[in-house]
Amino acid sequence: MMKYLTQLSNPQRFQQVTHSWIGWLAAVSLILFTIGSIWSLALSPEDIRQGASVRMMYVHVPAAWMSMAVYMFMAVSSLIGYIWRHNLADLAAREAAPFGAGFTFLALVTGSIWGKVTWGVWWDWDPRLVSMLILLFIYFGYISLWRAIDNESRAAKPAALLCIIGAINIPIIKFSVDFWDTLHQKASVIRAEGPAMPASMLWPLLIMALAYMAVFAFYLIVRLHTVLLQKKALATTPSRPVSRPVPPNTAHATTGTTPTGNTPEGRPS
Amino acid sequence: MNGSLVGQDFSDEIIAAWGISAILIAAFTIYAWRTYQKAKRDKPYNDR
Repeated sequence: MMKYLTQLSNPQRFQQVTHSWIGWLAAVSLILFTIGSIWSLALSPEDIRQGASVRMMYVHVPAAWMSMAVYMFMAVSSLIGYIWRHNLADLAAREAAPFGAGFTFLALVTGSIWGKVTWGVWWDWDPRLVSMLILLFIYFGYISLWRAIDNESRAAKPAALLCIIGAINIPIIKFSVDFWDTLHQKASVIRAEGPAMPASMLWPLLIMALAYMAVFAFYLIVRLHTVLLQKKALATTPSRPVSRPVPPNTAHATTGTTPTGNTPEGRPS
Repeated sequence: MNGSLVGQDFSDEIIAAWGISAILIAAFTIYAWRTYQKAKRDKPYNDR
């Protein structure tokens, strides 16, 4: 396994190995989304208290899981990039960030809509909600840091440090509902006693989560291929030949005329 | 305005949550795919 991962760390080998994965990941994503959507929207039961509004869970919970999972992926990649100066690991973290920010935003928006239905408010200064908002700001900071420094190799180190330090927010998000009294419900799937929901709701939720993961894998691999192709194109494009600058008024000095054939006074020579 | 699918009635909130999710996922996928296709078209100089 480690040998395989080591092979993948070579950009050229990575492109060769993962090229065929792109089509498969697209197909798997499409199939999982189709099954997950039909199961979640049409076949899963309504909640005894929330009614049909529980169907928002199937997009909100996987988005929240992805926001944290993508960040953990970035933190591990950043750590590898920081310790071993691994360029592909830094690039993987950088390219994953917009996707993670997008899904954090999605978790906040869908949570807000669900909150309006169940709690009666769009927003509350609840520890879970606030820690998710902080995660979104960390994502923005990380993306901004990469863009603020032109030199890629110089940007990688501070960006990796920010990402690694920011990972402390992930357990805070996870355990915020246990540490404090919150409006947000406690964990109902990933918990020591096992899931607290029936299989008829759990399965479509897990399928939707797998669909989100498959889309992330597809997005990341396609983005890495794109960046590596762009780098290769930039590295192999020959620079334009530099022409020797012609000193001004050379013609005046030799023939007493301008390039148009006129004397400096404007008379034809 | 509520939507209906295979006998299920959906509130505006459910449509909004699912709609935003679908748009975001589609946007990421299309962006990644289009930039990839462009990078493939702009081949490295040595491969031309």
